[in-house]
Amino acid sequence: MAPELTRRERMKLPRQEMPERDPARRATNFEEVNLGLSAEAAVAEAQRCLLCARPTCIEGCPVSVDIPGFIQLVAERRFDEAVGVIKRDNSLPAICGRVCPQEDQCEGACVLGRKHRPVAIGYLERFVADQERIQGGRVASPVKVNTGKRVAIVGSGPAGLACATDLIKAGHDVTVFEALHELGGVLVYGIPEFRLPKEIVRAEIDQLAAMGVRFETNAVIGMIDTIDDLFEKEGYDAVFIGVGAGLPRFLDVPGENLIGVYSANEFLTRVNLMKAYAEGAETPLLDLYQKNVAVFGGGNTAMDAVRTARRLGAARAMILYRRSEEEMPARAEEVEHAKAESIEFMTLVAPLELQGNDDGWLSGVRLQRMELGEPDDSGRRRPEPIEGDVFDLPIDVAVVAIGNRPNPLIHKTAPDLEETPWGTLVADSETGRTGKVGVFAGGDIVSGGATVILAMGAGRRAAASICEYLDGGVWELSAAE
Amino acid sequence: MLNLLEAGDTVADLAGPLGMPSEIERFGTAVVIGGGVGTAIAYPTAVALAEAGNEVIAIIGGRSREYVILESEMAAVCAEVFPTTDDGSYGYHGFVTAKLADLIAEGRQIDYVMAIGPVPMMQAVAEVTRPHGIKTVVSLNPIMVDGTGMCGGCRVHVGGETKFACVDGPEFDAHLVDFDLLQRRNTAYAAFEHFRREGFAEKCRLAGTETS
Repeated sequence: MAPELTRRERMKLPRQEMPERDPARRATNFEEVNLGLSAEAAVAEAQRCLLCARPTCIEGCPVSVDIPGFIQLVAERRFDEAVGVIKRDNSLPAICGRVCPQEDQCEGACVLGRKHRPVAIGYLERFVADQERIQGGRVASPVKVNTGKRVAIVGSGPAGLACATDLIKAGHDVTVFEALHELGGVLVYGIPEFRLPKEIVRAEIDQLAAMGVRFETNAVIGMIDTIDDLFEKEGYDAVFIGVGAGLPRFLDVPGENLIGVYSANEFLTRVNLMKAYAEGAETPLLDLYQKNVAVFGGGNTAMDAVRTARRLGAARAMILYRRSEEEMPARAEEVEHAKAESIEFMTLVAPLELQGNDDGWLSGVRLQRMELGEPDDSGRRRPEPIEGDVFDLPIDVAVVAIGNRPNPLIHKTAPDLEETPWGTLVADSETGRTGKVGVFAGGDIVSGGATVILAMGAGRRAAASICEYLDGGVWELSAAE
Repeated sequence: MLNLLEAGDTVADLAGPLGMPSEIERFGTAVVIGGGVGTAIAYPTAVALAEAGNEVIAIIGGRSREYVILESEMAAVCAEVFPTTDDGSYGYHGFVTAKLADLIAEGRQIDYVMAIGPVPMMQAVAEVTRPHGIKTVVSLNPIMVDGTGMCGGCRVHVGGETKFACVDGPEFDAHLVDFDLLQRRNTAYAAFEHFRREGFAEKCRLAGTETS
């Protein structure tokens, strides 16, 4: 057991740094950039936690993980128990430890961060989850006696997986339907291997399958079965819709249908899911070697795309963002990693027109320089054009990473589900209940584009509400309002 | 390559149906046009149109006789079937569009045309029917990745708007489609396809099988 440290001594301990692959070398391959803390480093980092009486970090966590609780167990080298504490509230810690925006959540709320650097909660979460997986000592959580109730989950992304976990533990019969041929949703088609190795996602899904969750791939709900079919024809007692934010947005400027203009979804799917980088891949990508690649956007997806372009040999891999770096929604770590990999950041520019050659191939972009004006609805300063300050930039490939809008597929076959004017589904934020009896929804299809952890939180809240409903609870339609 | 599979072989993944269903109505006289393997896609539409009470005329074309397919199947549901070949080795000597133009010139009443085949063929059909104001539908074949609207790779320009063929189509009003854009976008991976085809042909030569 670690010797007891005083509060003052703890505050003096330096934050452990995450070991990472050398930027020049990693920019040529898809191996995971972060290498993970050693056990010694993890214990040392855990000792920095002040074990606050009123832990603000828990308030900063969308799923309220008992953070000081698990960190204290790490400090005592009780790693198995530590991961157990996390899993009470978060079933996918190996994933969240890698992709959560900790600086805006738990670590952003850590009191140490006021004067020093916050406890590296994300690193520790990742560490204990990896320990568990690597040691192979994963014990499937006990499943309660089968209730005989059947739940269909539409979508195998973070919301669906989190929902499935809680429902199978509660003894329900759970089937997850996935439209693609591989499970994991955005975790496999969207987030690249160098940030989230697919092996980790597979391990989590294997674990769920071992607990009894059934998975059906190539099952496009809305096309093979409507939501009503799932109840009437297939005999499900409840349905959870967690299909994510599916349809990519484009720039809405002339030239966006030129060859060489990709949505981030297409670009990343070709690489992550269809392995376009591999020799002889069936689904290729335009050759990026020595090409100029521009990625529009400033979020995590934009960083994933531009770093992917770098790894595929682009001469220039550029972020083009219409606000300043301060407003970028990407995780701080992704921006740092991108810069270390010689990604060029061109901020305060907005595309006016994509330019092409006579054969319809992209050749450049006309850009408008912007400046920041007054704050807009999002609280960020609104970018405004600087009149007359326009210039052309030669590019060969453009990737548009400015967000998604919901896939209308579900609505088409369940028109009685209420939608917002933005096409998201209307569902109660606490229970996930929609206006249709027995149908729950959560994740990006309700919130619009958000994060893995927020989708998981919504999936878990819906699972609790589904359990209550299946246990004879009444359906109060007012709940959806 | 699907056409190399033997009975009992398996396909790794199959998903569907996808997209919007075909609009099947009682139009009156409907001409269903298939070019090459497009005939295979046109066939179920011909069946459905016949079942909906239309008089269905099929024009099925190919480069030469061996590329004209499903003639007897089409004949079973259609009032008339006109095979056409580019080289005149079978049926009508000329393109499907020439046969269609002949039918129109003969004064045949045509209420609906459905065309499925190579992009230049569909574009040519659209131009034949446009002056006569005949409702014409084409089934577009842009490069597609997931087929569920997720990637937008299959975007096409229809009536001045960008549409995703996978969820909004694949069938669109032929008179509103920007075929030139579709044709160009379909060449995006031509170099890659050529490379793969060469490699594939080489493999087949080694294995002593024909490629076609």
